[in-house]
Amino acid sequence: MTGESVVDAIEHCFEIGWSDGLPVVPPYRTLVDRMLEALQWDGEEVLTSIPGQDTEVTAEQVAAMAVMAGCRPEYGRVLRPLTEAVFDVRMNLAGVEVTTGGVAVLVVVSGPVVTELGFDYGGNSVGGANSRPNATIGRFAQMLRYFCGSQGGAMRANGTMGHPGRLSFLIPERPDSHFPPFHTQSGLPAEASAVSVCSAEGPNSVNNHYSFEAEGILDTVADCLAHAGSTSYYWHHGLYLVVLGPDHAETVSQRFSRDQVREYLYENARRPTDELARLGRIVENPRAESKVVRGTLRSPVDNPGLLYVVEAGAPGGRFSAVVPGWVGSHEFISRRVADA
Amino acid sequence: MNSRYIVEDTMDRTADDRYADLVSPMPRARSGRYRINFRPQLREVVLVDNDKPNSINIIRATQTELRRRGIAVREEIIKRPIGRDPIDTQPELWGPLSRERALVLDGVND
Repeated sequence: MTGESVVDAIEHCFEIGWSDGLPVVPPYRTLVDRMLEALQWDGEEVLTSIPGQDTEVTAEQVAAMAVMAGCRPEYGRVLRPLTEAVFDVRMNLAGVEVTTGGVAVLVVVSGPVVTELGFDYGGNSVGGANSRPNATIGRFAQMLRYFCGSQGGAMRANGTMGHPGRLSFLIPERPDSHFPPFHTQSGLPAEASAVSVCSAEGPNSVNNHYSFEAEGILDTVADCLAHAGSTSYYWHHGLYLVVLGPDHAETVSQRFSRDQVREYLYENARRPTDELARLGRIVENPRAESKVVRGTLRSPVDNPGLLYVVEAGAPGGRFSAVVPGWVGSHEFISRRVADA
Repeated sequence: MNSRYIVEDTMDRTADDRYADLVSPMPRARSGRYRINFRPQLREVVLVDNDKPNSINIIRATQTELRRRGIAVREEIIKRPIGRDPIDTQPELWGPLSRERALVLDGVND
């Protein structure tokens, strides 16, 4: 195999639609078989069928995507539970890909696997780390979304805005987090490694350099959560991920546990319902499930359980971020990663 | 055949022998599970609201416009019990719709 023939194969993949818009590693049979071995799946095995699209996805196709995304076989212990989580019926993969919301699959990796596989959990790690496991595993998750949610490219994606995370969107939790491991919010044991997924809009940066009080940090985060354009105000059942940078997390954790952070944000991230109605963020005759009460302050979420917290990113700058979930994403779906 | 109606199947090009060693990542729809009838037995339109932003307004406007054009439209607008879920996972809706003899229109969004 010559360099030129590999480039030809890359071009061929572009030509027949086997691409997310970037060059892919051509899914040669030898590479796919090696990936299948790492994933411990038989190639013919049907891993899922996408409801509403009558589409079946085989292990061989998933392994081909992992190769194309640039993943190494040793990432298999993360790729397998990640695939199972993305194919969980609660992800509503077909909806994720065809919604006007323009969302991506957000992957959070937590526990010992973060250091074992060499994820970059420092600078720019809220989806932007130039590190192979972050970038390629995040890309693999988007390929699952793109190829499987659109019936192999047959259905049109209808996202209005979209965001760069649709190419790759992975956040590793800091191993030295001030809070319990992220996956304990989904009921997994603290000592485990885990991969968790939801569908999400892009991250909004939250800066506060001058407050060294927990309330100052959290009120700033709350303002970002509750901006007038926040998608979930009416539907009320989409989740949010609050990413506390380590400097902010240090300040906040001196006064609040993680559950207290969720409660505080639920109580304080609000806008007047009447103002939201005046702006057109709430329909004239709201449906009962949205629990619209005029004359009150309204949270964009129905309950604090829809607010997830993770510590990620680098120290040295006092930044955090808010990642709004898609309104159809009601919980993080977590799967345990096998021990090394 | 009019060339405007020839749709190229990109998968045909994967048959190129030079690339026979590549494994397709593309899931494909199974065929045959659903029987689709493009010719309704009843000259009437049935509208389904899927509970998306502004969908009910669009559906009502559609009802008005179709009637203005002399097309029979059933008065009742069917509502999906759970708007976010596919119809075929909601038997209480899927059953009657699959037996519907009129033309069913569903799935509008803003």
